[in-house]
Amino acid sequence: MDLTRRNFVKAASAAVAGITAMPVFTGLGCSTVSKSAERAKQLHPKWTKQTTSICAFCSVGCGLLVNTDLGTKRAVNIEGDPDHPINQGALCAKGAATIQMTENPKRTQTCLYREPYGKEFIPKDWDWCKKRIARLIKDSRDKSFEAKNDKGQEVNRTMGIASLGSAAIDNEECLAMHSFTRSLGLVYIEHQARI
Amino acid sequence: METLSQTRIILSTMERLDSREHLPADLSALLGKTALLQAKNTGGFQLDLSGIPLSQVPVCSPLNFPLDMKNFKILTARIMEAILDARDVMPASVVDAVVQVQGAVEKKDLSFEEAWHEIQTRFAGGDFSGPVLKKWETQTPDAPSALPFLVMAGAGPSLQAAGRVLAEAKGIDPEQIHTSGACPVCGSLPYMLELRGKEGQRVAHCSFCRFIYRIRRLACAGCNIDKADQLTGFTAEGEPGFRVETCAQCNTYIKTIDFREFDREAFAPLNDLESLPLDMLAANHGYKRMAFSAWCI
Repeated sequence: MDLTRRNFVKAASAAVAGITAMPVFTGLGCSTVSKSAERAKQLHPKWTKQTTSICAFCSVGCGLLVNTDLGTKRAVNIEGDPDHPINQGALCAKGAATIQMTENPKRTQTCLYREPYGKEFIPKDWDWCKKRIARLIKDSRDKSFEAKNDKGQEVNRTMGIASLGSAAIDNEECLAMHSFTRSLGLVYIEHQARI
Repeated sequence: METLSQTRIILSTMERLDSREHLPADLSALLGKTALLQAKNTGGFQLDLSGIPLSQVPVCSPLNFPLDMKNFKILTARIMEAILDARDVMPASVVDAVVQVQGAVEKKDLSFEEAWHEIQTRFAGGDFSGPVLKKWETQTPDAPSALPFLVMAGAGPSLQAAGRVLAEAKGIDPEQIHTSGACPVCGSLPYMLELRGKEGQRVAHCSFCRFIYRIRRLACAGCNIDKADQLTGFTAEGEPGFRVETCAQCNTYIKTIDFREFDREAFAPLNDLESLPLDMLAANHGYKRMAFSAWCI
């Protein structure tokens, strides 16, 4: 048989056709494989498919492999993608916990608020929380705003608020956040990926 | 891998096989014993690699694959003796076949060398069974694959050694990802896959020369398609440590060993038998197995 390189590999897969004649491990006539066949009937397969994704946390962009249950359509496992050139399968603690972004029964479903010097967390809705956050930012900023520094130079800044974050937001959101915080006069503007 | 640690892993895998009641005990005994004899047979192979141009990948077709003929015949004889010595625990059909084969070899009615050539043709994609193999399929109807089993059992260690030597000579790095699922040494398809290391590198075990090479996670090891919607797989609660990977394009399946969360080492030739119910489950869902087991059965 003239085996050029091209038909060589094709021929190797043609060998597969012959094997359908006999199920695997039965060629020696061992009749007790029937017990395994019985067992197979009692097994309930959990079908999943695998897809790639990119970790959402920082700009390194590590590759992920996501296993999704075909029945429930929910992710069941997220691990590093060993074939991704950037991380080669490794993940930091945050990336490794990516599945908890969607699958975590312990996540709180509502905002929780503890009063100053309070002992308990009280559930609050988003509307209430947003108004309160805005109020506190404005009050802090007004309290700490400096129009001029000690030398008399014009600074128009607040040293009483810091912004930290976020690696999970994209460039456009970063621009919006930056514009907002700078316009308030923040100087302590930091990003978690740098720390 | 040195003999001692291989033997240790084989023995612990055999224990596991014994503990699973649904697995055929006689078949487990046969494959376990054969694996032990193969593991003891390492080193000192006389391999003629001349005439194999190292210019392409796959390096060498099964048709031209070097074999230490003397070692092959000695090991085959040793395996047959061992089967007869332990006939009480061996499959009766195989014991009968061995008696017949031994007799035929003595009378010069059967040449293992010829049988080997026909096995080579089988793996190279030629006739599945040449005249000698066909004859013996009818001679041992209760164990039609007895002769191929004996041939691959005896040839295994030499093939494995040759495969490694050829890979090294060609500069094939088993850790580098190969984009084709076929063996870079001999072009055969894998019989088992395995996920190794914390990162889960996917490696394939060649069904002919038992070379172990790294392949992509998200691709069919048989037809190489890498579209996620064609690739699915399943696990089953009663068979921990294994996943069956299926391909809708070529309609085949292959099992993947994943012992990363368990404290055990893989030995693919026996892990294959260990997870036999999964093969039946896959067949029930209409998938065909990609390649022979390491035992040519």
